Amino acid sequence: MDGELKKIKKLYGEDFAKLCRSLFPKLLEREGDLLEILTDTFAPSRSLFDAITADDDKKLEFKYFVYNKAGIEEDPAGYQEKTPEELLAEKGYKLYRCESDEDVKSYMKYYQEDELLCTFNDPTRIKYFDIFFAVHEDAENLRREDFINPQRQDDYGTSVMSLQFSKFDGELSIKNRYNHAVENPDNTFSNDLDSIVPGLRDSFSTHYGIESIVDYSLYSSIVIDGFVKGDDNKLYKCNQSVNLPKGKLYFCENNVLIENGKVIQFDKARYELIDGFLLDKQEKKITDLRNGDDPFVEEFKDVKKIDIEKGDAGSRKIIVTKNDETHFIVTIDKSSAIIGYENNFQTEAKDKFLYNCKRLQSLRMDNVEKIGDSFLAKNKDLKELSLPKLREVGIGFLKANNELCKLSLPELKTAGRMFLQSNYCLEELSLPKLETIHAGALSWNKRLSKLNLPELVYVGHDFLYSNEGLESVSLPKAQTITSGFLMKNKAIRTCDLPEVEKIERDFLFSNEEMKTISLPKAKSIGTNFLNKNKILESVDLPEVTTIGACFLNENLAMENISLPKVQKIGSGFMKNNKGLKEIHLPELTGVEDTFLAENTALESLSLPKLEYAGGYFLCKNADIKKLDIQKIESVGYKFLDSVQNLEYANVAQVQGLSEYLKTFLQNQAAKGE
Amino acid sequence: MVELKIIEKTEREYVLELVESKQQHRFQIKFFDLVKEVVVGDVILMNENLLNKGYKEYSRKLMFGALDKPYGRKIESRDHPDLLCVKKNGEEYWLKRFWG
Repeated sequence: MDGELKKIKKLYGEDFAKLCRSLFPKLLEREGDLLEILTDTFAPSRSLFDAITADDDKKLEFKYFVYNKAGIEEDPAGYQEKTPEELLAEKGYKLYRCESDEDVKSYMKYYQEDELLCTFNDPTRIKYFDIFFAVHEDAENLRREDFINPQRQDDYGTSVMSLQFSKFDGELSIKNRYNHAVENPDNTFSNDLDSIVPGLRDSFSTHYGIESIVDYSLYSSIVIDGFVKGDDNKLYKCNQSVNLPKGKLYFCENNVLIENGKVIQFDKARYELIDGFLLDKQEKKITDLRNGDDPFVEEFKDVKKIDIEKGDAGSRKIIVTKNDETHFIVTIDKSSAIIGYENNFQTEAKDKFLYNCKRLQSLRMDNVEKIGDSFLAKNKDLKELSLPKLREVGIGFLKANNELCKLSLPELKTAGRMFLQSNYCLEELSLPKLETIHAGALSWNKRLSKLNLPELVYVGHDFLYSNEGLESVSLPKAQTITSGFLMKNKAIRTCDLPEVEKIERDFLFSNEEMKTISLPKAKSIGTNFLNKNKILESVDLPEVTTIGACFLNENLAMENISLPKVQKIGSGFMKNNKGLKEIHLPELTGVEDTFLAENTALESLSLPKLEYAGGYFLCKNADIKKLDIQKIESVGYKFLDSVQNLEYANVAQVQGLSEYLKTFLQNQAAKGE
Repeated sequence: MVELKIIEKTEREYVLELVESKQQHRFQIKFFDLVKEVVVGDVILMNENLLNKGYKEYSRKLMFGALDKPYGRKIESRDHPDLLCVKKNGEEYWLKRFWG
């Protein structure tokens, strides 16, 4: 036995050998049988123990798998002096046996209405199963609402268990109080009575004549998360995998590559499989086994030597020295993932450089000035980054880095699309030299609350889209704001854009907190400007000449607005504004549909140069009292249709006037007004 | 979802045959909330996970019943592993897996 365990220890580690000793004492008496089963099934791996013991179900599955392969079964239940009631009482349970469906239904009271066992819906269950309920003494005191993250074997889940033994095949199912709110609820404690309290299996057999039977035929194969089967039918621990047009590649422990099922073992003396690359220590070169397009391989030109040093926790440093005596260091963890890269001689990283390496924890490239596309996108582990000379980055740089909290890019001037998109940790960001930033940059940053961009001139689409924590933004040099700027930034209160001349659509769309805004040089405003902002009280647009559709819809707070130079306005202008009382637009010449519709407080409107108006002009504004549109030449459908309470009107006689208005104008003229 | 035909029914078991590969699977299935019995010749649509022994909730003993009953999970997608359809005489009966 000891000899066999030593061999198991050598192949799978000491912990695994100890596990085998505890699970298979009898099988180990048959020298060599267990070793044969294991080596037929699993490639050598130090990761197997953790995978097998990840949860109780898997451990039991492994045990029954080996039993199946060995053609053995659990020992029959032995004698146990204590009754199941006594054993369970030691754990605080009271055990009840059900004799009828009414008995069964009496336990419904312990379950939430939406977590009832199907047992309560099945009056024939009692006929085919021996049904018991084990109720813990704390069961009535536990409140379901206190368990917001249910786990199958937590206190609530196991406070009431229904033990159901099939009268036909002896199979046991232990039902959980959470029922389907947890995974595998009919398998509580892996349906192993001895896991509830040791000796319970024997006790049921001794005192009730009920023996729980395992159907070993269900365990003829085993599947383990993170392990993949090769063409030799063995399971290999997989570090990562990739789907390629030529098939699926699995990069496994111990220098094994599985390509479309075929196991390829690389000689450790010469090769290292590293994060999708194959390092040839003899030829001093590296090959990208994935898409073959990662320029990282070019760093292995003119290599003088490669040294490998051991680090902490199974990590290793690969030190590559070149003929010109420059060097770089790649650090890999025990799964051969690249977790560190240091190269202070590199000045440029081309597109897709290390783009498949998502586990980098540390990066030093003190002299890099230019980085191409996809670098560090979706990295899982990087917390801090400083690239002191970086001036330009391509698409997707640092996109979806969920751990990144600190970033220093003091020389960055140009950032490509999706720069720092979807980062959930970053709270502050200062890019003192940034001048140009492209579409989607800094969108969906949940925690960003402080931003310093003093030199930014060009802003791409959807910049800062959906940043919930941002309260103020200042871009002192920006001149053009493209579409989607600060869209879905509900919390923004101040926005400083002193040089902006052009604003495209959806500016601050869905903002809820801004009360005042000044855009002293803006000449044109796109669609949906501050749409849905209800509390804005004042807006300063002294130079604007063109306003797009849906400007300031649904505002409740603004009482007046000054737009001294505006000439053309799109549809839906200030629709449904409840506070606006008067408005004077001295240069306005044309408006589209639904101009000032549903402004129920509006009393005075002066548009002395207005020449054309779209449909539904001032729709649902019944209370307007003073009206000056003396130059109007062309009007749309339902022009001033709702107006009913005029006191004064200076309106040109055009086709399309309502009967009320015609009459009013006639009467006004008759009175000599 | 995969399509299986019921090719045999014993007192305790259904033998299901995958329409595409002809592979056979045996399950003990209890159906609730169906007016008519599920018999040989009927077709079952089920999530492929239920045929995979590596699936965490794999079992050869299954129960299915009406979608609106509280004995199973809320089904909000056709891809939900607990969703099943019985096709019988041109009619479809959508059910969900019951637990407990």
